[in-house]
Amino acid sequence: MKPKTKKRVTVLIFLLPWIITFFVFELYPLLYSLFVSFTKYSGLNPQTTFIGLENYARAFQDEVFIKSVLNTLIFVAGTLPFTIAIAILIAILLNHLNLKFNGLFKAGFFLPSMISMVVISMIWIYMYSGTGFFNTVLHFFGFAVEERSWLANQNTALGSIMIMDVWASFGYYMILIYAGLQNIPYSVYEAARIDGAKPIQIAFKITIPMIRPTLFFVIALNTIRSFQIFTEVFTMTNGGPRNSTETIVHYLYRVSFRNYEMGYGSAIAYILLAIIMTITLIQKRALRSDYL
Amino acid sequence: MLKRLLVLLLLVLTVSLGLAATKLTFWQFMMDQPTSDAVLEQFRKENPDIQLEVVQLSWGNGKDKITTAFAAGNPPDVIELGNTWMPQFSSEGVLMNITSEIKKYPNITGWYQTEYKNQYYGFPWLLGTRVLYYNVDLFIKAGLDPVNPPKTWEETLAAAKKISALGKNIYGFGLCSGELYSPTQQWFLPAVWGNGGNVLNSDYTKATLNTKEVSDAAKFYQELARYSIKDKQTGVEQAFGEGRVGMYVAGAWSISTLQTTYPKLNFYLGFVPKPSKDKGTHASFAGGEILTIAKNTKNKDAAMKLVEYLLRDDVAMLITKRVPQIYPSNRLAILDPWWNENPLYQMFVKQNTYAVAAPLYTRWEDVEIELTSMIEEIILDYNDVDKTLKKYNDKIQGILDRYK
Repeated sequence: MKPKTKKRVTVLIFLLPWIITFFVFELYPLLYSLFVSFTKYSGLNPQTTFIGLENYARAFQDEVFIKSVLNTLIFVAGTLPFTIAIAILIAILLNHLNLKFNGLFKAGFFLPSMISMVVISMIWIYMYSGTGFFNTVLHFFGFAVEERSWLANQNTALGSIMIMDVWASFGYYMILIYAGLQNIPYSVYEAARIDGAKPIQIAFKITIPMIRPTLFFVIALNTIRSFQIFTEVFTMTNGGPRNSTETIVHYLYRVSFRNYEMGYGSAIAYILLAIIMTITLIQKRALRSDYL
Repeated sequence: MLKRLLVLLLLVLTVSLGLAATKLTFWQFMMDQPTSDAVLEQFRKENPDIQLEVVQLSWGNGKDKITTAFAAGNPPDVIELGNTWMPQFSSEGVLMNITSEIKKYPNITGWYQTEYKNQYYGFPWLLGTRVLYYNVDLFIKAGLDPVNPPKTWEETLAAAKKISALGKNIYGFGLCSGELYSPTQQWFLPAVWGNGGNVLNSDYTKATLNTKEVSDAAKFYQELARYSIKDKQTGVEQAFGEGRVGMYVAGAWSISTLQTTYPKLNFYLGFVPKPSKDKGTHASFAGGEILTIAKNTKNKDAAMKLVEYLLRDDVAMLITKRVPQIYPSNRLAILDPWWNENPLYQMFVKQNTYAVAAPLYTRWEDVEIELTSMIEEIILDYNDVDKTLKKYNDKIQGILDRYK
């Protein structure tokens, strides 16, 4: 064997575990669900009937699906700015203040990211309940609140999940941004200060541009994750009351595993893929990032 | 020499494989590990050749697991299914048709839950229903008879009014809302059934919400809502436990929750009220656990043996004694002395004579989601009852037409 071929074979062997899992657990399901999305398939018995684009056409006439798209957009637009803004703010504070217990704060803010979302949801279900934390506080300050879980009210359910989600996820993005900030050499700041730059100028002319790749990565990641919100909805509301918290992925699940319409469910999954891809490309343009 | 040894080894392997036990898998929801060990101990002794593997599923994602197992073409041999899921699974043709077996079980009741197009696809195993819970202390405080809870809708309304007048955080009744299943199953649908109505016609081609029976039940429900706490089931139960709710409808699982979490609470049980003295029935929601066998099982005989064993009255009673929220479908089980020692649970057996199961329609889950929204509009927004019924009648008709 020539040394070059030998090297290639070695590389291939090392890559093999990934290649196999990629084909078995990613590429095959991806292509199979694309095929299924053009069929009528219950999932229970193996019979599939080809129906062309009917599933896709149906999605755009399905009022629950349209509602779930709107809810998901509200969720993304309502959580992303807050999550990212809080994450940036705290990352900058931690980076510049150099507090005595810096590590403790970092760990504290990051802690929710290490707890399972199901556990967090269960805890917040109690906090949102009729006689839970939030209603007790409101009651204490003299607000007349009806004794009903915030999650059982169609006007507050989605907002409640959004608040919880911001709390639960900003710590993770904070750590990523903090790492980005640490990469900015101190000499740049020093030079800016000698040239007489004001703090605001430093923030917008140095800090933000220098962490732009990180920022794009964080925003893109958060967008993709938010579009896929499922665990919180599944644990806390099951999409209700009156579909007010129905999101795309939860509806996809409901259609596929509750109603046994795997074909329609797969079509919804591909529509979601198209939405996420479009938005990520727009973000990439907007932030002019070469990353990703 | 080596060759001979190999041949011998192969021979031994084949023989031992042939003699090895039949492997039978049983997926179920109701029994935790200690319960299933106790219940199946006798079966394992009687059938040493069957290697039984029991898996407990959770109500949260058990149905998904069953679905994926069927989709993968590798379902368990014996599966416990909720009675409302039966039409979906039967219509997909993945369950064994057991119509010819029925005559072997003259003491088992509730076969109608397993029927699909005149064929039967499962064995009714365990039943459960809901009764009226009431707070004895609040009844006395409000000057109501603490021994005779309300029997009719009118009496219920009057009692609820009196109890809710006792204080600001005290409610006459507890109605479930804001989640799936409980709003329809606790009382709305049974109230409709008790009033002689239904939401679908008998062959599931027409939505029948625009009938007087449904409309009267809905109007009563709306009136009752004015004196009620309206929250998720856990919220209602908590408020009842704290002694702030006069009455609510719930299953037997609430007994143990209430007794352990709120030991001071003084409550008792009654029939679910009926429309009026001379009209309607005390209808309540019938939950049922069905034993089914996968159509393509390789162990049909072993599976049948297991089902036969589980349906025995003494075996099923073992489960009731450990998980007293369900009781055997075998009518001989009522002879067990356990019932006399546990009068609260006996109430559920009495109530069961009036229990009604949800329509066995393949798309029932879709219909139930619409009904849940409808109930919310009636009891939370106090929307005009007849207009709301009309709106949802059209929506449900749409479902019926789509999946004709």
